[in-house]
Amino acid sequence: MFRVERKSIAWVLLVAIVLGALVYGTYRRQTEQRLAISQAQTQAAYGAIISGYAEFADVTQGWLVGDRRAYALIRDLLGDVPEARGQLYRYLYPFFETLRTKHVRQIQFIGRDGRSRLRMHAPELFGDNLFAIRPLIKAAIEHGRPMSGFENGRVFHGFRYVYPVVDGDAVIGAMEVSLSFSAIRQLLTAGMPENTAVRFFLRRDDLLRTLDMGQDRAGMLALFHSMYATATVHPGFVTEDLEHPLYGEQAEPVPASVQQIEAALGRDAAAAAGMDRGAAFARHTCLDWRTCYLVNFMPVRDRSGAAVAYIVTQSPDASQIGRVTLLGGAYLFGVLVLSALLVTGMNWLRSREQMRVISQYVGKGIYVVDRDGVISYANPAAAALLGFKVDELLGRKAHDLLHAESNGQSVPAADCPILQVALHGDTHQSGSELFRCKDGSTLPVEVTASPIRELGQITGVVTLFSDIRERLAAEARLRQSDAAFNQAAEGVLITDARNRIVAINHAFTQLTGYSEADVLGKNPRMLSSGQQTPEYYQQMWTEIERYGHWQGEVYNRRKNGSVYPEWLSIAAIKDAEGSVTSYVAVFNDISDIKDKEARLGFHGAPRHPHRAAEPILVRRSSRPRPGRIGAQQPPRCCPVHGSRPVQAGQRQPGTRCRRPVADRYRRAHRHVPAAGGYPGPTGWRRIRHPDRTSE
Amino acid sequence: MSWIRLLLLCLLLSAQARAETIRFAPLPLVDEKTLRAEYLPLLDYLGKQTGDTYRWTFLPKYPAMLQAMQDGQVDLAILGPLPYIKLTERAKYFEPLVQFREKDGRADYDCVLVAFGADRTLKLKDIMGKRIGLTQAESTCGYFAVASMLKTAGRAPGKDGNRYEYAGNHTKAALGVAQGRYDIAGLKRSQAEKYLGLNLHIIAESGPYPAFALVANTRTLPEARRAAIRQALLTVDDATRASWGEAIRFGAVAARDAGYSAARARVDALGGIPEAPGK
Repeated sequence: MFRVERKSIAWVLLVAIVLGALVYGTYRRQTEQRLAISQAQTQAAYGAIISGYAEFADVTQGWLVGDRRAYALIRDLLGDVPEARGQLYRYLYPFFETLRTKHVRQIQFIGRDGRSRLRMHAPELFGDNLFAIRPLIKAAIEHGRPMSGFENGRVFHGFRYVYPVVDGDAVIGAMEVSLSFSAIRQLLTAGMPENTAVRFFLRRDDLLRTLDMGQDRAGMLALFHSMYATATVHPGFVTEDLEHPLYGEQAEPVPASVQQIEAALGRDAAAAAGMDRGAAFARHTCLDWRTCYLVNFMPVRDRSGAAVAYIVTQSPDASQIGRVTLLGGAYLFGVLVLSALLVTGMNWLRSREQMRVISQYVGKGIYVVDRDGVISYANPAAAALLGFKVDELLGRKAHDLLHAESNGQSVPAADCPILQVALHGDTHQSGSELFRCKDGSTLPVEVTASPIRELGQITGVVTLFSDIRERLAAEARLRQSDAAFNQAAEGVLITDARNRIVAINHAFTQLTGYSEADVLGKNPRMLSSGQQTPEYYQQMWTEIERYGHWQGEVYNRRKNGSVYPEWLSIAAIKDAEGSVTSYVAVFNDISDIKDKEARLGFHGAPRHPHRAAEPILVRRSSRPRPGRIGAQQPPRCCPVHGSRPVQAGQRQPGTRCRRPVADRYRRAHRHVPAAGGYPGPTGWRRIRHPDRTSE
Repeated sequence: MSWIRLLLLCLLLSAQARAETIRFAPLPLVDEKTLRAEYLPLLDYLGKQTGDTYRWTFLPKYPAMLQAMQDGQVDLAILGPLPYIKLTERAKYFEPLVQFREKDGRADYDCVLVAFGADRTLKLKDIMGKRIGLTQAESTCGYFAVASMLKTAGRAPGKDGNRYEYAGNHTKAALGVAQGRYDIAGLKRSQAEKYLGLNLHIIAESGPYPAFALVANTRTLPEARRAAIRQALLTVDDATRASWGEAIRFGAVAARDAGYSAARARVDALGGIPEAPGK
C-alpha cells in the first residue's frame, strides 16, 4: 500500500470520526433541546396546577368563611362546642363531596392549640396535635396568614393550603385544604403528551420521621412498610404502591415500561446525584435505540425549601426514531460518500502511481499537453531522449519546442497532425516524425498521440514517442540482407526447426523451378531425386547434429522432373540456449562441373543416377565452425553484384572465387570409396533425422 | 402443669422448625388502610414468635372472604360471631383460636343502633319511615343484630314503614348517619364510639355476642402451628399489645366452638338473612 493511500485512509477515518462526533453532538443537542422543552412544559403544567388549586383553595376558604352558617359552625367547632363537629360535618359533607370530585383530598379544621378538630375525610380522627409534623399549620396560626406547600401527613401526603381562621382580630384556628398527589398525578397526566407517566417519590427519612410518632406509630410504621416500596430510581426515596387495593378504584397497575425506565434510572448515577442534591433536572433514558423517554425530575419542596419529594414525569420521546434515523442515515450517507471517495481516490492514486511508474520506466517518451499545446507532464524518458530536463519541458509549447521537419525547421502548426489531435480527437500514429533535441539535433521518432477526454471534452493530448534510430538502421540492414538473399547465385532454402520450408530465394526458384508458393511449409524432401541412400542422409544429419553443418553433393529433382547434382551446404541455426531454431541450406547446381569432369575423363565416379547402395559422401570439413553460411558453401564464384552464373573454373572480372570447384571436388573425391562416383539416388524424403523419427 | 408447658414448648418448636407463609385476612369492618394499621403489628409479632411469614389478604366483602376460607385460600382470619357461625355451617374444619377482648376487658361485645343529634331519643318502635344503614348481610352487627334489636320492639328491618340498605362496613354505616343519608345505623359498639364525637348517639344495644375471634383453617394450618399462634397471643405482653389496633389491643382469651352455642341459637331463631333489601 502506498503511503499516500495510508494517509488517505487515515484522513477518511478521521473525517468519519469527526462526522460521527458531529452527528452525535447534533443528536445530543437536539435531545437537550427536547429535554429543556419537556422540562419547561412539565414545570409549566405543574405550576399551573398548583397555582390553579391555590386559587381554588382561596375560593373554598372564601366560601366557607363567607357562608354564615358554615362560619358559625366553624367558630363553634374551634370553640369546642360539643355538637359542632357533627353539625359542621353534616353541613359541609355535600360541599366536600363536590370538592372531592375536583381532586381535593381533605378539608381540615385545626384549633389554635394545634389539635385537629375535624377532618372531613376521616371525621373519626380528631384531637391529635399537628404542630409537630405540620409546620404550615403552625406558621399559619402563629403568623395569621395563609401558608402553602407540600407536606407529608400521617395518612396522606399532599399539597397544603392553610388559612388562619379569625374571629374579629383573633386567630382562633386554621383551616386546611389539601390536594393529594394522586390529584396532581392525574391532572399532570392529562396535561402532558400522550402516554406520559407521572410518578411520585417521597424522601424516606422525612416520611419515616412523620410516621414514627403518636400512639399508633407501630401501626403507621407497619403501614409504611406494607404500602410503600423503595423507589427503584433511588434507594433514599419510597413510592406509594399504586397497585395496592387501598387505592380502590384509583388503583392502577404500574406499566412495565415505567418499571423498566425506573430500573434504568436506578443505574444512572447522574439521576441519583441530582436527587441527592434536590435539583430539578431531566434525563433522556432509553430502553433501546428506538424507545426513549424524556424524564423530568421536579423536586417538591417543603416550607423550608428542602426537597422532600420528587414528581417524575416520563414522556415518550416521539421524535427518537425519526432523529436517529435521520442523523444515522446522514452519517451513514456521509460515510458511504467518504468510502466511495476513498475507493475512487485510491483507485485514482493507484492508477496515477502505476502510470507514473510505467511512464517513469517505460522506454518511450511520454508528454502531455493541454488544449493549448503546453506541456503539463513529461516523463524522464522523454526528457532523456530529447536531452532536456523534465522541468525544462514543463510549461513549454510542445509543437514549437519539439516538432521539426527533416530540414530542421519547425513543422507549420497548421500541418501538425499532433496538434490536430487536440482539435479533432482522432488518434494519430506516425512512424516517421522528427523531434528536435535540446542540442538542436533531430531525433527520428515514432509517435502516437491520443486525445485526453474528460466528461466528453478534449482537455489535452498525450503523446508517446520512441527513438527509432535503431529500428531504421535495422530496417536498412534488413533491406541489404534481403537484397543479398535474393540476388545471390546460390539457391537458398531455410526451414524451421521442424524442417518446414519457411523461405527460399530467387536463385532457388531459378535452379529448381519451384516458386515460393510451391514450397513454403513443405519438407525439403519434396526435392529428393531418390538417388541417395537413407544411410547417406543419416550420416548427413548426424554430422549436422554433431558439428552444426554439413556439405556435400546430392542429386535432387527439379519441378520439371529433371535430376541434377548440386553442391549442398546445410547449417543449423541455434539460439542462445543452443536449441536449433532453423536450418539453412545453400546449394549450387554442379551439372556443368559434372559434365566437364566427364569430358575430362573422370570415369572413376559412378554416374548411374539410381545407384543407391554406395553413397558418396563428399565433405570439405566436418569441424564445427561458427558461423557464416558462406564459409560452408561449396566453392563458387561470389558475384558481388548480381550477374550471370559463372561456370566452374572460370573467373570473371568483378568476381572472386574462393577455390576452383573442380579442385575442391577432386579433393573431395579422394575421400570417397574407390567404387564411388556420383552419389546414388537419394532425397530428403528418406532421411531420418535423429529427432524426427516420423520423417 | 409443667408437662403442659413442655408440650406447648415442643409444639412451638415444631412449628418454628418449618417456617411457612400463612395467609391472613382481617374482617372488613373498615377501610383496608385502617385495618393494616391495626393488624400489621400483630402479624409482625406473630411472625417473630412463630417464625412464619404472614401474607396480608384483604377481601372487602364478607361472602368472598368466607368463600376464600372455605376454598383454603385463607389460613387465618379475624371473624365476628355471625361469619364464624355461617362458615362452620358450610364446613367443619375451622377452629377459633382466641377471642380478642374489648376495651372493657370483656370477651364479648354489643352491637348498637346509632342516631344523629336530636334523634337520640328515637324509640325503636318509632322507626316508621326511617332509613336504616347496615354493614353487610353476613356481619353480626348488620341485619342479624339490628333485626334482633328491632324484634324486641316488635319491628323488623324493611318492614313497618322503614327501609334499610347495606352500607358496606361499619364506618360507612356510621358516617351515613353523620352525613344524613341514614337516620339510624347498626354497628359494633367499639366502632360506634369512634363516631360519637360527630354527634351520634346510641339508641339501642343488642345483647352480648362472642368477641371477634382469630379463626384457623385446620386443613391448611397444622395443630402445632395453631397451638403456637394461640399461645403467642395468649402470652403477649401489654407493651407489645399497646401498639396494635383497638380491635385487638386489649388482650385475648382462648376460644372454643362451644362458646358460639347461644349465638347459633339466636341465628336459628331469626331465620334467614336477606342478602339485599327486599330479598
